[in-house]
Amino acid sequence: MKLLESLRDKAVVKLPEPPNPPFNFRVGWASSYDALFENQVEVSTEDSLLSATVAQGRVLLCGRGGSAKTVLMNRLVSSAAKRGFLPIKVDLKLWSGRDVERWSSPEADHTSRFAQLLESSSMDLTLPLFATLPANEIKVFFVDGLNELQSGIGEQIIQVLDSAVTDQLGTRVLVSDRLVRRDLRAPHRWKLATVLPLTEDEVRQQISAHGDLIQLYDAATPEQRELWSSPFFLNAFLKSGETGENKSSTFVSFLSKVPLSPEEQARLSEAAFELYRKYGSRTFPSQDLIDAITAEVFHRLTHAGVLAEEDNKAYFSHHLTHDYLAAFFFRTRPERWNQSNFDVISFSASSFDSLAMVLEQIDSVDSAETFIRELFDWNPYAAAYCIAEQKTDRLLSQEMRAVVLSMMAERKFDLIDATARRASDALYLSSGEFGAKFRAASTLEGVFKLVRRIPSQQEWFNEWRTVFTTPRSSTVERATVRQLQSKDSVIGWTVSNVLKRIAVPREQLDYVKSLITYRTPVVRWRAVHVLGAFPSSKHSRLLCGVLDRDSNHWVRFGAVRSLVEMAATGNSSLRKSVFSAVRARLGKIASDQRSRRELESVLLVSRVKRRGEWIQFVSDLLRELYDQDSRSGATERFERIVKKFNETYA
Amino acid sequence: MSALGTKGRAVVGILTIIDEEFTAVRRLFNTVINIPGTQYFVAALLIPADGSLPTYEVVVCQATGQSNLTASDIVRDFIEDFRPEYILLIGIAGGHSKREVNLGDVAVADFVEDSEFFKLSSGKSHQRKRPYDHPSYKLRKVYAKPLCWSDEWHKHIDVKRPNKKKPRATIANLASGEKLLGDRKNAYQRMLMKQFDKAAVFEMEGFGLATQVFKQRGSVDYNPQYLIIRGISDLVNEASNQDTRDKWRVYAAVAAAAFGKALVEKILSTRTAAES
Repeated sequence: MKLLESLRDKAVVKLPEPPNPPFNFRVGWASSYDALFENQVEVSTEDSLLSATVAQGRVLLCGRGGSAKTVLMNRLVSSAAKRGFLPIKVDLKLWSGRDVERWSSPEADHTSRFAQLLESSSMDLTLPLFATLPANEIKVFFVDGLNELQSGIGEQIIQVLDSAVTDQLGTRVLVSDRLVRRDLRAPHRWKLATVLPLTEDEVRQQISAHGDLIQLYDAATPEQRELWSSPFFLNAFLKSGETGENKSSTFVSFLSKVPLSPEEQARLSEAAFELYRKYGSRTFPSQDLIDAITAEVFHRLTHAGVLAEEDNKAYFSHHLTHDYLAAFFFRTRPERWNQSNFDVISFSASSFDSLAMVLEQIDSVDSAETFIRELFDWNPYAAAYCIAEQKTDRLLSQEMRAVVLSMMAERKFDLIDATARRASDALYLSSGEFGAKFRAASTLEGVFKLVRRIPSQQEWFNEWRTVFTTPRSSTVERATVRQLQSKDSVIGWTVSNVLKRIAVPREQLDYVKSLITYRTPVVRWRAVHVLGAFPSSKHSRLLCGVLDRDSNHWVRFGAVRSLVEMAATGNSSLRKSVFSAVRARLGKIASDQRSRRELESVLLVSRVKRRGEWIQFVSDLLRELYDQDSRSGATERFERIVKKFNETYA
Repeated sequence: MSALGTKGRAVVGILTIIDEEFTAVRRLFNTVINIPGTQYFVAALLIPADGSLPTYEVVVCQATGQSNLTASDIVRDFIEDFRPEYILLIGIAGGHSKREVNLGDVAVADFVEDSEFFKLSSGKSHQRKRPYDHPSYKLRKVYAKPLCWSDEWHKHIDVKRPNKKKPRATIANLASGEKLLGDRKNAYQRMLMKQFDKAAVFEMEGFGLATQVFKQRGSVDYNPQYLIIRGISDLVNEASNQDTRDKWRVYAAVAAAAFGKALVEKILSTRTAAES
């Protein structure tokens, strides 16, 4: 018992000072991810989080950056200790690149990963020590900052914690995450919660305590008031006393208190970006930053509370500050708006907050639209997220919003289940009436109707609209097909998608096939994407060739996706030959974790024809994929896939 | 004090798969009360006055479908919710009439074979191995084996047997895979019969239970014991076994439940005696 008490004390002593003034939080409980995204929640107090975690075993606390998840988690750690539980706080923000390497090493399995989480806790637990704790004592893991890591690792952490609740007696877990759908082994065993925005009464009460600020509040725009319903930004407002239109301008005020000269801020923001590139984590060696910005500026930042430092490792006191700085640098470098840098600033598409702040800081309509187009080429969901985060129409025209939302809405009807679900989720996160209309469209023709109703004099939009709304029974001009090569991602991908759903003459299809060896990877990707809709032995051989020879990961992924699509829509003989071809290349696909995950996800097609035959092919393929997987944790992975398979085809 | 689950404790947790098994077990064990908001059934709801979680003697649940994975999932839920000391899988299975079991018999598994995991290459099938637990030696030796020699479990059988033979229970090897073996001429089924030449019982959930128990034995404070009790409803080595299954499934399910009932009575009476 002494050990428990000393661990409990340690957990509380290590907590950071709570922010002052304290805010009153409300929590919303959702019955599913769909309900969470639709904001259909049952409102409760923050205490309900701990009670539900102890009673149910697993809680995911989801929310956007700045919603005070960390502050709330810290309060709950204290509260858990007071109620006699053992709180085990794991701050993933403190993970360095080395921690990520250890987690991802081929030898790592559930047990070693659980041990790593224990060792990462604020009280330096170890697995042997944990095993000595009394079985029926409640031990609550508070795991903060899942969104600080790549999404694949985030999901693995959830899996390890999920298992721990069952196989480690008395264990409970509360995990904070961003607003994203996770692939949970047993969704019914997780409770989903979100931190609700502060109420207007709460905001007003907090601001009233700073008498002079209430006038600013009364004069504020609806967008500013919405921003202040986020605890992080309200706190920044209370501290700086300055208003900002959006998240980024809040940081301008915040950093002006340090203060930094324009040159110092430029160096700092470049360093912030480069640290993401070099370490892929929020924590980095202090010396790296000192080398970039000088020791004097480093100390000024730590003194002002912008930076924190522990054991020669530093991190920004809130990840949004780091995001803002990286975005500040990135928005000035349009020549670097490409796939690899988007990966850097978003942790391989795990967190889009920084990208949204790039868009906020762009000061011309042209640049904003260029940014969205480039982003769309890399990840259409990121483009949709960034648009959803823009609370005003200042930079992005209704036309550009319509383009991204309608292309997202088209994906809702995709053959591949995972694509359709992800598109629906992205639309749920798009607030406002405009997003809601696209979300509600139940057919592609319904999406066309919405697009046709948008009044516009913009030539580019009207041209795009003509292509996008091409009826299924129609054809397109040769010149339109040639736009597959367009440098404009929006038009290039629109043509690619349209060609998939209309009748394409042989001559035009030959042209599409000729593009699979084109010099630009994204054009090759668009071409292989089109071929998926034209099932034939010849096309399947072409796609296999792409899979064998193309050097670009995304093009290869496109080929796998199109092959699966062909198998799903083609005749039995083609289906058989496609599966045989994919099986012959399974070793290559399985050797790359990302390709492998993508293959697993595109195989689940609930609307497939000749279902029995399809199920047999897919199950054989999955079994073989598993058979080739000698890495640890393969069994757990396989079981999860089989479970999803059963859910899809039950 | 035994380990505590998120919903309480159970001395015995019983898993069933198909409706006939679930019905037979609930009737014979009188576990007809549903714990609200859960998949579990008990004889009576317990709500301790001190607000603590209840301890049940027997908790019953039904898997959502056939397959080892589904069984594994539900056992995991069961363990997390009640940490049962003993887990019984009670239901029906196919038997091999040339390996000491016949229609209506009850077979208690002493060894579980994973009959699904093969690598097929160069025209041959190579069995692959995965780790899992085998049925509890203690449960078999102390409770099941003596019951096999007696007929005291027959009294719990409350449905008519389709033929006039006497109920019989035996200990046997069991093979667990993912396919319902309904065609004795099928090449894959014949391969399985040959590969697992000592297995007398063939079913689709035992391995899932065995794997999950293996995984959950992670603490010195929790040491679950399991047993698989199967009533033979069809014969995998004889023709038209679907017709046979239709004729025998209810009886086979009740016979297995009856054996399980007698076994659980012994477990509980031993505990009561020890506690007093």
